[in-house]
Amino acid sequence: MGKGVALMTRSTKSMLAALALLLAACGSDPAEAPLLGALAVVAKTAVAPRATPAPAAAASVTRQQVTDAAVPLIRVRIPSRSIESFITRRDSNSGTETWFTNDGTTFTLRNGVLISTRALQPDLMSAATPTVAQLSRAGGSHQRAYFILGDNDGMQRLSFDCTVASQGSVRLTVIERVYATTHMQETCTGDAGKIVNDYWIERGSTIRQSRQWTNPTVEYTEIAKLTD
Amino acid sequence: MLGRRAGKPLARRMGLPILIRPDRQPSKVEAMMPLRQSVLAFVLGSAVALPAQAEMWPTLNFSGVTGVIDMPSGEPAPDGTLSLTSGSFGPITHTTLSFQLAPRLSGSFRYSAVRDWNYDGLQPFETYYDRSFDLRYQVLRETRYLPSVTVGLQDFIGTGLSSGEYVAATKTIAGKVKVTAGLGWGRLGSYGSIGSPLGQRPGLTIGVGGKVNTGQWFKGPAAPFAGVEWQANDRWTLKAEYSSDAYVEESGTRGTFDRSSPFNFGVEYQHSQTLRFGLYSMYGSEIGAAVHLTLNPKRRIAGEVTGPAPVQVALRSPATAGWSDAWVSDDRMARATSKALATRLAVDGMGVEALSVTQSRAQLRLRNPVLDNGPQAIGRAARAMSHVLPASVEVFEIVPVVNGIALSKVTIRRSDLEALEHAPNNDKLLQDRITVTEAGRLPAGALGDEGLYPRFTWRLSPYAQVSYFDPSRPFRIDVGARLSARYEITPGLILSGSVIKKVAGNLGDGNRPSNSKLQHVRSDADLYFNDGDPALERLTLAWYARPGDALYSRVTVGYLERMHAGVSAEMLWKPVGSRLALGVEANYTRQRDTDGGLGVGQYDYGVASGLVSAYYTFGDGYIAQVDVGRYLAGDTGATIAMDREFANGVKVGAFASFTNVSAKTFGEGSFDKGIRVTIPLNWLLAKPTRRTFGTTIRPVQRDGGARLDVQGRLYDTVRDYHKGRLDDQWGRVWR
Repeated sequence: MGKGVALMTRSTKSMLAALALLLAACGSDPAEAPLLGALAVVAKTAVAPRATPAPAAAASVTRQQVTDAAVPLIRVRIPSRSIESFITRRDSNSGTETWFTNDGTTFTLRNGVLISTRALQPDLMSAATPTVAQLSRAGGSHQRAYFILGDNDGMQRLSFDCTVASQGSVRLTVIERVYATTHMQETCTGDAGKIVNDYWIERGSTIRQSRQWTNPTVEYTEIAKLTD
Repeated sequence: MLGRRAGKPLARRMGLPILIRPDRQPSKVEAMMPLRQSVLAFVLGSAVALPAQAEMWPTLNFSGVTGVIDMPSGEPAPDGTLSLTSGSFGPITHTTLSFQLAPRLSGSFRYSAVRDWNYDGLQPFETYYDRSFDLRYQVLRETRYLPSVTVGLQDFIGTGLSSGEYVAATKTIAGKVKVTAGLGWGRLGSYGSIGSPLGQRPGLTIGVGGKVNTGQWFKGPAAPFAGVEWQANDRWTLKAEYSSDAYVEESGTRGTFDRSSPFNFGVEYQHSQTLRFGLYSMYGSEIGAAVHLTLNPKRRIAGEVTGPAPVQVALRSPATAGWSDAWVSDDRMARATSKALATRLAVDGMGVEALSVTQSRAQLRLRNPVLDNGPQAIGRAARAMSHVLPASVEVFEIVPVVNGIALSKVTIRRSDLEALEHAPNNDKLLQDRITVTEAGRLPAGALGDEGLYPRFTWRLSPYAQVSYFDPSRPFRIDVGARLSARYEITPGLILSGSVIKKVAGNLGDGNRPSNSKLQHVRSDADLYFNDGDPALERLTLAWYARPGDALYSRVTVGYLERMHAGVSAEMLWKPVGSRLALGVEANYTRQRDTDGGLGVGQYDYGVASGLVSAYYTFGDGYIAQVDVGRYLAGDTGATIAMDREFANGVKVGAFASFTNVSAKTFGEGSFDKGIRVTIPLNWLLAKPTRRTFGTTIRPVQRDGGARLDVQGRLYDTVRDYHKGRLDDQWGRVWR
């Protein structure tokens, strides 16, 4: 048996060497170098118990910091992923604004209404959305469609019938600043069951804060406009 | 400069935590994880919460087909499901790979072992190994009142030891309980028979196996079987069944275990979407256990391929519209444009093979070595073009180039790109407005990227080589390092090679000398594994060209593969929009020495081989291939193959070759056949890469029907950017 154990140890060692080799794959093509990191992440998520979400550090951001930044800024929270991010604008294109995180995720909004994401897993590739005017009119109804990159890289279309209701006036505080808003609620039923989007709208034209359904996996994204 | 307005991420300037993700605690386990475990870990990687479940999933039985415990059920697995099951009770172990080929049709390949396989207890105990194939077809779909009904053939092509046929019906009740009842023949009609409704079962001459035993199907004694499963909650399932398998050989004749009851009971635990465990009481005397790995090829384990978001389309402003177009004839300006485009493409690992710009039209010959999705590469290239080309250029032509040859031409109007970027359903709308046509000639005056050729790349990476089903050790593996290099001298002319050095493994332990009566063109693999460490795998000079419209050619000379060296020439006809492709390949090769060096004298064997091939795509990713011609051992015949390829690149297929070698001369298995699986690396790593890994599983590797393993065959290279494949993958064009 002693020999067997010794052999086993040797083969375990060689297996470890092989694993190291696997992780150390390298070459002249820089595009493939990050393989190491990716492998490590996959292995880690696979082996480690599901980590508890870190507490959000939102409280530590002050109005002063926002002002000092001197660039347009929004706060994005995705509760299902315990993500909170303060992000800047990258592009503005034909009435849309694209905001990006430094790990390459983007959120594209049209007048504050989310129309697409990239690198969010899975992605909202495009959407047919209501206008802010529609969302400000209590009692209105409209249709919505989400196009989500689904299984097998196919486009999954989710359609909804929606109605808008007012939840009344709200004095909304966003990082030490108070805004007079109307809380509008858009309730939709359709292909993914029932979803509810909330908007806090100033003067019927500016969405100051919102909670918008994004895709079936991530569910809701909370967005707050920090700069005017 | 529309693309990068915000400059540096704000976080660094503000000292803010920009993105807070769940803290992934570093784990000590990871670093010490042996290879096999890490592979398992990949699978566990998707061990996230189970989605709320509206209906009961079909579960697998001991033999790896949808079923109860040891008995099959009447329902199929979800379309495309690929599963690997290993189950063991008493002396019996089955390992089964199953694939749901189509919504109603599935196939399985099983490797079985029975320990203590002796008659009299005097000889030393031996283990009996057997390989078998199953086919199942769902004849009736479940309705509100009627059950799902499946007809199955078990071990229909092997030695026949496990042969059995069945008709099984399964009904789901109230979303929690499944009841199965069936009638079995052969093995599944061996206990509690009700007579032979369809006549006597003829005897079987096993010989070297590999025959389809049609004469036996549904003949001989038939016996009923039944089972019930109750899904207590999302995780736990209880099962019970009445088995009609008497285990005549294993329990009766050979006495390997005691079958004292027809009833089996079990409990199963669904750990994640991919992993399921089962524990069973078998036949009143044995404890059984099974592990089921179930993969949905349509869904990447690692999630959607990440990689940063693309840049957006740059809009043409009125200010740029009036620019002079004098630059078109200005060589310096054109070079600067090409360079600027190359810089933008480099973000995604892409490059400019050539760029031609006229006043209204630009053609980019695109090099894409990284992104596995053609439309994604094209979409990103188009957006990059919108940033560097003058406003007067309205038509973008993107010509993907692989191995120096142009594969197709995707023509996009710039105004469509601008208008649709943020439109709902933008992928479909864009798809309707583009054209995909023959690549055509390189426009006069096109400028190549001067830095591109000659181009040298190299790579040091791990490799694994696997040998299956050696009776003394059914799974043998070598892992080691592979150093490969590639020198692209001019577009289409490529010198490349690779060397391997084993680090660990037991492939060389196999020492069963080949008893093949044909030239040992493949069956001396053990000698090659033993002698060649390190070994030169390949060293070739390849030339790719476009001899005409819809025509593609390849000539490769050198050490083409580990066992054969020589020259290989191929021509392919494949119009961009055609489902059909035709190819012809001619090779002259000499068999290489086993030591992995440069010699070809050890065997003194040269052969002219070649095949005429037809490929046809049926849509939904089904590809059929027929090859007719002469194989490496000098035998002539045909190979038929069917593959199913998913949009994300996962490909599962089966093939069989029938040549003029008699079953007796061929040896065990009678003819060459097998299953092949290809999985893109990005399926495991959410990282853009075109690399794949895969394996071909043959019940036995012999010398008949063997095909040269030359790299860079044309069909798979060309098809990636042709109509059908681009359509399948189009969803990522805006990603």
